[in-house]
Amino acid sequence: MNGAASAAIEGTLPAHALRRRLSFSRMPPSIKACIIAAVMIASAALLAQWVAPHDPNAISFANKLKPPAGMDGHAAEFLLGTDQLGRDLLSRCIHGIKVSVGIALLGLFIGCMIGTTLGLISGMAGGFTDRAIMMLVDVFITVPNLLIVMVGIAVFGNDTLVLVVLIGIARWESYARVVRGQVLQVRELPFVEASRALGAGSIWIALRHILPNIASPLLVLMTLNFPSILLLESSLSFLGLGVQPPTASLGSMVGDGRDHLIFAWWVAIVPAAAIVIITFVVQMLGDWLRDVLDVRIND
Amino acid sequence: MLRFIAWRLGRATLTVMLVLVACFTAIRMAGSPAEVLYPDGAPPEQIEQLEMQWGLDRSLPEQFALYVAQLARGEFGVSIIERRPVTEVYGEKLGPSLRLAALALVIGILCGIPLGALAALRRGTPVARLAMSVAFMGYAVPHFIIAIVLILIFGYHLNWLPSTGAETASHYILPAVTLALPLVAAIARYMRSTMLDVMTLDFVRTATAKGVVPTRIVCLHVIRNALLPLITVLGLEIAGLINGSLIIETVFSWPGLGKVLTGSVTRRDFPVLQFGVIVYAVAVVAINITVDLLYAVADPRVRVRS
Repeated sequence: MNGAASAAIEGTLPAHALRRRLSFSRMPPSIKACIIAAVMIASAALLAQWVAPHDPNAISFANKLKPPAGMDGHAAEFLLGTDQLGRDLLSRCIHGIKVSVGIALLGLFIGCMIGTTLGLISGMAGGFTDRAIMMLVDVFITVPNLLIVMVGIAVFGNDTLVLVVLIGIARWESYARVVRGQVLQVRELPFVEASRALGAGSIWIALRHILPNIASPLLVLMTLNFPSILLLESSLSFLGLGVQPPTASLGSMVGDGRDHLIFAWWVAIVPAAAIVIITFVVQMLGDWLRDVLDVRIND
Repeated sequence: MLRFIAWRLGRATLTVMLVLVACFTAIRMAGSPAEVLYPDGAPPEQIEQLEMQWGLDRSLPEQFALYVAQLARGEFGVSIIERRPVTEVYGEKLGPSLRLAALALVIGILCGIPLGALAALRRGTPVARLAMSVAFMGYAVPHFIIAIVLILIFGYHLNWLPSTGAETASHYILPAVTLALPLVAAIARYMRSTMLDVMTLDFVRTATAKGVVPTRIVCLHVIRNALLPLITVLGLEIAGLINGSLIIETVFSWPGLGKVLTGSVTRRDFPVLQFGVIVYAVAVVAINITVDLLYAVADPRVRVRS
């Protein structure tokens, strides 16, 4: 696991070259499409209250299991159809995206904070501390992270805040590995040595010199990790262990739809499609960002 | 070689110990099982008696020592809800779970390796692009969505395959394929990139220059060398396979460990949950050790480096 992080610091691009590569007009069309999709999804989720055509939790048995537009028997006001309680699937999806993506982003952030901190400590301290933290990384690689979160939920109950923290705790190890690897490289560079010669302490060097230099691999890693965290959240909610009803999360919506697959496939497929589209878009962006920023992360 | 094995075993034991400590701490933090058994409250004497019975009245280190001693004797506790040994609760479920996971692993290897090799050898052709985009989807689509789509198509629409239970061999097809797809994707992706790396190496050029037949180069030289790093990846993918099987078994109402484990979370049946976590952790650690040893046997460089 030691060779895991090997993003080349000398590969860091000068600012003007970076700006050119990141300018919208120079992006490949598929990436442009992904960015537009991401912005649209994000703004719909942020403005869910105003964008969603219906109340996501409004039950109306008269309208239950209406198919999406274009199929026999659909109702004009429900574009993507309704579920078994007559709730509008489009509105539930928009709100569900807000919940799922929100939880995933917070979990991602917490994991990144924990992992970066431990990685910095590990790389700067060396010796026993380093070995102990890497041992912990090994444990977290070995134990399936669904199990970690499940034990946590059993202990602390399934509150949304608990879920976010648990997801963060289950998914910190990759940051620790990458940051540690970066620290070991950057630490030896002349400017860090100069700073140390001028009397700078470890914490100062870590925060002032090393952290800014490893920003791009961290960004790439976060983007690449996001889909799997979203999947972790939706898997948990699908199993009924994550977000609790009546709040809609994409995973719990698919879980609800499972019981109606024979007669109303759309109840499960609509939120499932939303999950697939989001993970696909972010995965594409992550791969592209990795190439553009010229970061090498071997997972 | 002996030192390598000893070092590897030591690390594995430490990992398992840490898992045990985490389990123990988590379970003790959750409070008394009395709260679970009597959610509406019970007479204090009854709760006290129950806590005595579970050994909850002693100090934490004492409890942990007792706990490890119990585990070492093979006593893994009694299910709070079902009131029978957890080994019994799991015993009948282990077979179907293992068979399903093994089948998925076999499918993953048998499809992933040729797919990845094909994508590397026929790079740039539509076939290769198709193979890799399928692999990409297998990576981005979660297990439970693959499961639902397959059930919808082959279970309900075409009515070819059963989608719940595990009575006959045909019951294995849908869950095993679902579980295998992300694995196929991961293996194919990895196989492709290592194949591409290996194909640029000097010995391949030498073989070509000597006039070795291309198929022989590919089969004997390239694929054999590309398979080596794949062993490590397989070890890491096992954790993903277990993550997946926990979910898949619920979707297909599979009579396996997954259902027991997720059930124990909602019912807060800690002895059952803990046993499941220990079994899975030990399984993953054991598989990883085997992988590392296999790797060391196959590639002498590993032994020398460590």
